[in-house]
Amino acid sequence: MRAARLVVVDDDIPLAQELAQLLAEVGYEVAGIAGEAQAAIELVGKAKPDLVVMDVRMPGMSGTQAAAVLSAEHPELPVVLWSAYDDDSIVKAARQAAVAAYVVKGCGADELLSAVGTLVGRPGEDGAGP
Amino acid sequence: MALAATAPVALVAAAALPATRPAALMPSAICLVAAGLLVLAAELAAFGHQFDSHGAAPRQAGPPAGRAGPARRPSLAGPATLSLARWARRWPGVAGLCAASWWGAQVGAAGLLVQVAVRASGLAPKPLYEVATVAALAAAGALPARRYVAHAAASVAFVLGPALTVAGLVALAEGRLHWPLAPPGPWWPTPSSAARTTVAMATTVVLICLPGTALLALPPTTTTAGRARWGVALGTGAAVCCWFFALPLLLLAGGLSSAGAQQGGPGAALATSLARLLAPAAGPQAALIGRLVLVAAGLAGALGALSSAATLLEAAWHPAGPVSRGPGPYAQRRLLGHGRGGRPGRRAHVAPAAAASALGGAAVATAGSAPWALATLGAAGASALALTALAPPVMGRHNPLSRVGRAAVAVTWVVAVIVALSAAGVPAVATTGGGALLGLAVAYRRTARSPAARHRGPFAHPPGHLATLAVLGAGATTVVALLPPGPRDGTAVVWRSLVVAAMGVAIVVLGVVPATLRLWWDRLARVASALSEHVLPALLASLEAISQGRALPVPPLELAPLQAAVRALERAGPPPWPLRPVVDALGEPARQALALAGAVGSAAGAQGHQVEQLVQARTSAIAKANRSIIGASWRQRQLLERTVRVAESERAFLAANLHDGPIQRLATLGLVLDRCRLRLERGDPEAALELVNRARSDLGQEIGQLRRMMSELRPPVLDQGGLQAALADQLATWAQATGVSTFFEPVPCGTLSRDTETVAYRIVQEALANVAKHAKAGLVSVSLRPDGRGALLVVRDDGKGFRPVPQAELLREGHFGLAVMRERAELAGGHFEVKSAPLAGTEVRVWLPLAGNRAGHAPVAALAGGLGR
Repeated sequence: MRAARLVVVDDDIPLAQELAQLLAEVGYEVAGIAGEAQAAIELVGKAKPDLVVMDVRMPGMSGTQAAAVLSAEHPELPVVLWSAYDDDSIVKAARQAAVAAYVVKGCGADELLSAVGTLVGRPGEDGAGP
Repeated sequence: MALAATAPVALVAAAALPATRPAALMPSAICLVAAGLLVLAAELAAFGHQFDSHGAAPRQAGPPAGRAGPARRPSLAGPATLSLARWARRWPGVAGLCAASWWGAQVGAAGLLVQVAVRASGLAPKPLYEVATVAALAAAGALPARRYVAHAAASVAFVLGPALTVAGLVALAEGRLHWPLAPPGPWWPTPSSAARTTVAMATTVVLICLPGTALLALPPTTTTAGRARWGVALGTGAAVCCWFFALPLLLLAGGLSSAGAQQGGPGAALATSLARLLAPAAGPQAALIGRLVLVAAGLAGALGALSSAATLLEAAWHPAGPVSRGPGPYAQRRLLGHGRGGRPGRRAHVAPAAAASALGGAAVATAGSAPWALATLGAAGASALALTALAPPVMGRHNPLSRVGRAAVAVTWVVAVIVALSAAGVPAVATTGGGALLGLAVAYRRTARSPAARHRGPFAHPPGHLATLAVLGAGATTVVALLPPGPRDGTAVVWRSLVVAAMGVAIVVLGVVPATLRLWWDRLARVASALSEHVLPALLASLEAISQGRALPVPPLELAPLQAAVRALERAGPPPWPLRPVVDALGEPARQALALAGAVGSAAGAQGHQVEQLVQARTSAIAKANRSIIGASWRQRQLLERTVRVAESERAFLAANLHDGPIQRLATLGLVLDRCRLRLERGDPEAALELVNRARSDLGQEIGQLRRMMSELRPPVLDQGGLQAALADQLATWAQATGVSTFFEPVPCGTLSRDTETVAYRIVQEALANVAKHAKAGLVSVSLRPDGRGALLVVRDDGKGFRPVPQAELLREGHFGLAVMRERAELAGGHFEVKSAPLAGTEVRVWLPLAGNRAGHAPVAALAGGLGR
């Protein structure tokens, strides 16, 4: 059983790299990192990930809009929005984009890992990933 | 007055005709003639008055075209008057004389004509025609005059008059009529018919026309041409007078002396004469035709008399009323004297009138010796004088007689008339009734001069007069009725007449005096009322304002009522002697008050002009200030919008910075710590320590970033080193960024408040941004030095400069920099100024108050903020 393949999307590259290293250390396979939404859509088309972790506020297309696009192209692909904003309006827009989960950036990644584990299974567990 | 003049005559005629003795007709006839003479005198006086206006300048004898003169608008006069008036364009005196004669004939003859005709026709019993005649003449004054119909009827009489005269002459020639003023006697040697006729006509001319001639004996003209015209007028007028007044005399003569009069009276004699005249043509019907002619002439004459009397009474009732504009015989209009001012020489008309009357009286007195003849002739002369004196329409407002003189004449007239009536055997009831009518007319005429007075008081009101006169007349009648009907000798007649005359005097005095007093009292009350209600309070207020140096009330005084009252007082002439002190005591202060009020009014007007100028100036200033305020308000709004916009963008910028900076870094640190924990859980402390060191380094960098953000929000050097150091630091940083040389010389100045320092810092920041953006400068110098109770900040560059434009235009074009700088400076209680010109650099001068030297500028802090990007 292979680990779930994840794609990390954030315009803050150091943060994305740090998250990617954390996810890898946890046991997931990071298929790639994208610094903007358009690149993330292309990356998803190539890498066929099991899940996408994406920032909301990015230059160009926002994470919410990108999630809507991905949801249209890949209905099976769960998208987790990971944002510094916890405004109700943004959360509501994210839900309308049919994202799988919305996680606020906090101190550490416990909530994010919990959401990812729920969606694609924790590394080493059965049924994780396709 | 016409009623007053004709009513006694009509009463005389009515009372005298039924007398069985033919001699009783004589006083009545002479009274009637006197009435005609009287009217003629008035006409001539009026026309002479009118002639004065034109006759004094012979070349302008005819009224100019387009002017409402007698020759231009005679169309409503009778046919004879019309033709004569046309002819009178060159001979106005002749025309006036003819018209006067014509009208006098109407009045004088009509009264007798109607009675003679009715009686001769035998169509009515004696009492009926007596009553009808008196009632018709009395009603003439009360009924509105139907001038057109009445005048047409009078014109018929005008045509019939000659026929009747011819009939009378025929009777004379046939010896059936005897001339009454030439009774048979030793000095009447040849009583042949032709001689008697000639003498009768000559006597008529002398007695009737001589007064008219004497009346004009002193023509009011000094030129030869004027005298010549008057001469022609006199001749023509004498002929006309003879023509018309021959008629009643002939009638009387026929009644007095002919055999027919012994049987059927003068009417029957005249009818017989007419029948004989008409016999060749009419045959057996001549008698009937003669009677019908007499009836027609009498009715027409009566209508003419009614018209004349009604017109005159209407004129007396409305002195300036419809008669002056309405139709009517030319002579009547002239008689009223409308539109003619006073002329000199009218006194000359009065004296000849009196002289003529006296001459007539003397002539009769020498012809017959009866006392009634003397009294009657005296009454006739006095009547002419009284009518002239009493009737304002005749003489206009410029009656030559004084009030005392007029009163004396009036009394004389009344006495004479009543004496004559008594002497003629007129019943006392008729005498006093006539006196009452006379007094009533006089009183009405007096009160009618002031329309407002007719509604004030019992003696100024017509019903009041009527009641008064009725009571007096009843009393007088009672007194006369109680007198013993003694023999008709001279002494008894005089004594009885004196008593009746006293009654008449009392009637006139009691009727006229209260009305006169009342009129004057009203005039005085009007002056006093206007003085106390309108002028004095306002005058006192104005004087009080002047004494206190305040503005005069505008409008200060209402002078019109007092002016009108004083004018009415002056127009009324000298007051009666009992009221003279009162009038003097009130009139002079009223005039002085008017003068003072006029002075105050002009002063108020001048002051009002100044006030008006001041108000205009202030209004202009207020309008200018309003425009300034509106402009300032627009600028404030623009600045507020810009401030809000800047604040919003700055907040967005700050939020973005927080998102992209500290939050991301801290989130990254969180991830690093998560990894560190994972490594510790895996039992790899060294790898975990590596991540801890990295996290420590990242944290230090993040603290530095946050510190820079804090510095941008509020330059710490402002708090630590003060404004001078902050400016130096800002200049150094700006110079380093732009490469432009800067010069700043710190000079110690007073302490600015913290907010004011921030304002100064931001202004310099904005100015430097503008220099970097627009000026292409090589050197920028900044100075801050003390200036009065504040500090003067100057930022000067040597760039390309610009053409200063109004701030509103800058704001409209979206250039907020200068406006924000000005607004910040002014909100801080300072001043802002920009000096620039193309190629001459730019200098921004800002004066800011020291701490404690300003108040009420709270919003400074709001504009002191900003990130200074």
